[in-house]
Amino acid sequence: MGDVLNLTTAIDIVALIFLACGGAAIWILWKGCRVLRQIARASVRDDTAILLKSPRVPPVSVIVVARDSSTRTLAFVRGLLDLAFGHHEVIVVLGDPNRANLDVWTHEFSLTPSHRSTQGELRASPVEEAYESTLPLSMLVLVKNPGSEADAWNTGVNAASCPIIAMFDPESEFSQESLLRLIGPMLDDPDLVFAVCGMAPPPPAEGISGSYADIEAARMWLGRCAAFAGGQNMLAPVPGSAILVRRDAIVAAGGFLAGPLELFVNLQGRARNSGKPYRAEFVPEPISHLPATRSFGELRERVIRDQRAMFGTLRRAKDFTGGRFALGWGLPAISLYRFWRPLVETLLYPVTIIGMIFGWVRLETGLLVLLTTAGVGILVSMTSIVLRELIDYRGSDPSRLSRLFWATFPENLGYRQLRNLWLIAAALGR
Amino acid sequence: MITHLELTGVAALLGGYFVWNLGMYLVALLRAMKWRERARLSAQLQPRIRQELVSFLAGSENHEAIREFIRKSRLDVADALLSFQATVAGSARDRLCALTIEHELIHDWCTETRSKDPIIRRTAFARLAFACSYEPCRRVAGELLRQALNDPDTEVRFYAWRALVQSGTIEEIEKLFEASLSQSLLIRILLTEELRRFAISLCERAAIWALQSPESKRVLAALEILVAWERAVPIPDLGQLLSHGDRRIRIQALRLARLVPLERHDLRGIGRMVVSDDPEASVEAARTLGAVRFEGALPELAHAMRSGNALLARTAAEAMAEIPGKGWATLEELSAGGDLMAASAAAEALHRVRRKAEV
Repeated sequence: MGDVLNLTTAIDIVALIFLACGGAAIWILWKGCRVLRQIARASVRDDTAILLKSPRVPPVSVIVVARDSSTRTLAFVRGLLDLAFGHHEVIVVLGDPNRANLDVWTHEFSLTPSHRSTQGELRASPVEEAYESTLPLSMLVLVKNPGSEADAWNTGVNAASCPIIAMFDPESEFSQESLLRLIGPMLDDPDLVFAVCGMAPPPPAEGISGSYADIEAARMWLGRCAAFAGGQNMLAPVPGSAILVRRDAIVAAGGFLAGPLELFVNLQGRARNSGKPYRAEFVPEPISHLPATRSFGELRERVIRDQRAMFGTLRRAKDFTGGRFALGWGLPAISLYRFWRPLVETLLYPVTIIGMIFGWVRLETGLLVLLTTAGVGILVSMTSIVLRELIDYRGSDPSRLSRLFWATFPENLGYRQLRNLWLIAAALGR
Repeated sequence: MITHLELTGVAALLGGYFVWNLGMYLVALLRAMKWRERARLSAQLQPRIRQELVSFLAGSENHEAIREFIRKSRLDVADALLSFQATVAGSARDRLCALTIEHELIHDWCTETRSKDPIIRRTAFARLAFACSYEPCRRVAGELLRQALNDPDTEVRFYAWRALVQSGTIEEIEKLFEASLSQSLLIRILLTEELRRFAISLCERAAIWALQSPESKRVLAALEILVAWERAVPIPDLGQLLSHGDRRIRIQALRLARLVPLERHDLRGIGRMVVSDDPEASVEAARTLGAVRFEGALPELAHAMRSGNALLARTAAEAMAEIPGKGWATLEELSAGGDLMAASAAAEALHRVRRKAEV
């Protein structure tokens, strides 16, 4: 009898912790909403036309680490070359010196060998070959032996001739004005803003998987983007973001430890520890976003990719200035919300059901578990949908709003449990 | 162990929050529907209003059509008027501005400048800044824009400055130039573009005073604006700034040196800066020497190419490539030399300049 009581009490306690977590999630969403409204109210001016032609705007080096010569990669680079900006160059680091790949690049961009120096302040393995385009494109292609991700990025920074480095998620879709919109906060306070991160939720997607992806994007935008941007040195890029970072900040930090996410977290940790009000700014405009998902497969891939990136960063936390607290409470909160909560919740369901079948767990406790997991999840998702609507001063599409609002029920009664499994698997996998 | 009462409490808490969310959803839904209706009306009206305004600018006197649009949507007419901001000037712009008086749009905007909503307020000032290039509109707006010059909201101040650029006297423009020196880089960039057409007038007094200021920050800001104008400007005594104690000022002065007529001894001074201990100043000095094609500094440029600094070597090589004859000959010698970095930079510069020559 005592064991039965203990089990019921333990489940009750866990359920109440879930309730508290839900409360915290809703608080974060509200905070994100407040931050986004403040940003929206900060300016009604559109400076892009003037920034485009002003020689005072610092030039930007856009770095791409490419592993192949697929149509998608080439289109991505072509998009970067077409960005509207006064002066920008694209540096492609090809981590695969395969001759066939190189021929595709040479043919596509009319490359010719370059004598340009590729040495710099950061430690990186030597560049095998360098190419520039004979077309009127400001482009440098660096070919090197396959190495670590950090090595490729550091090679790009070494070759960059501009004081600001831009990085785009290769999976993302971005607007031509991305750089012009991102550079604003750096010009507003060039001494203290060392990085800018821009992202907005993707355009509406069709189908139920699209609705789930929309809800997920709204939660991420309000939480991990806006709410974290409102905290001191807590912002970190999410999938689909475009990033600007000062080159001198990258060099001072010793370069990349892995990818752009790890760099950003490390820089935030350094800023936090510096005792000075250095900060990274968030631009919540539709400058860059992931494309709309069309199937559950794509949705699953996206969830897993984000989780792997996040937990890859968490595993390297000891290398960052500030360690696990490089983003304040940000990294521990992400770890709790995206790994421990799904893990415990997934274990809790069978324990509660089996307990109820055998009479070890009371019906009230079972209902409490349902309310504090799926019930709270529905409310968190509903809040993110409603708050996202409130941020948009002009209101969005009413049919989309209704579709997303009511999709929060099936999202938390089926998809949520499946997503928990994806999150656990991705966090544990390498 | 949880009791029935406690479970009811949790359910009530969540239920209450659900009802609140539902209420917010309904409000958001109604708002979205209203906006969609509004957007649909705008999409219908905007092309027609613009067409009517184009006819009006071409000389049509059909005021009734515009009056009809005003009755349907004052907001859309205001937006359409503002959309001509960058494309019309002179008497055509005056005709547009006169419309704002005739249809009392300007009165709406004056009222909106007192709104508590910063977005409405800023939009009103942006519109007034456009309309007040026309003197009768300025009379209607009265002191509003002048008072806005000291507004705590930076954006409102910016629109007041923009209005001032449209209609101010040269003394007022000089004051605006003075004020711009203490603004953020972004605002300075925006004002630089607005002030560009007064470059020569400002270089007669205001810019000179700013360059003589004891405050390094102001000198630096003034230099940055002058450089950004990218216009040949008469700046006496630039040599003093080239040897200023603040390296940031020296670097900006080097950039400005490409746009200012210089004495030979100033150019020699810039040549010496190429081999200074400051790599950034050396790079800028090399660029300037390339831009003015000064042959007298070829030894310093050649020395810089062997400095071990890749960027400086590249820049010095590019500067020499700008000097046909002696510069190219020096590059050829260096490309065959033993210093790998200098040889590579020289070869790259020669390759580029020959390709350019072929084209």
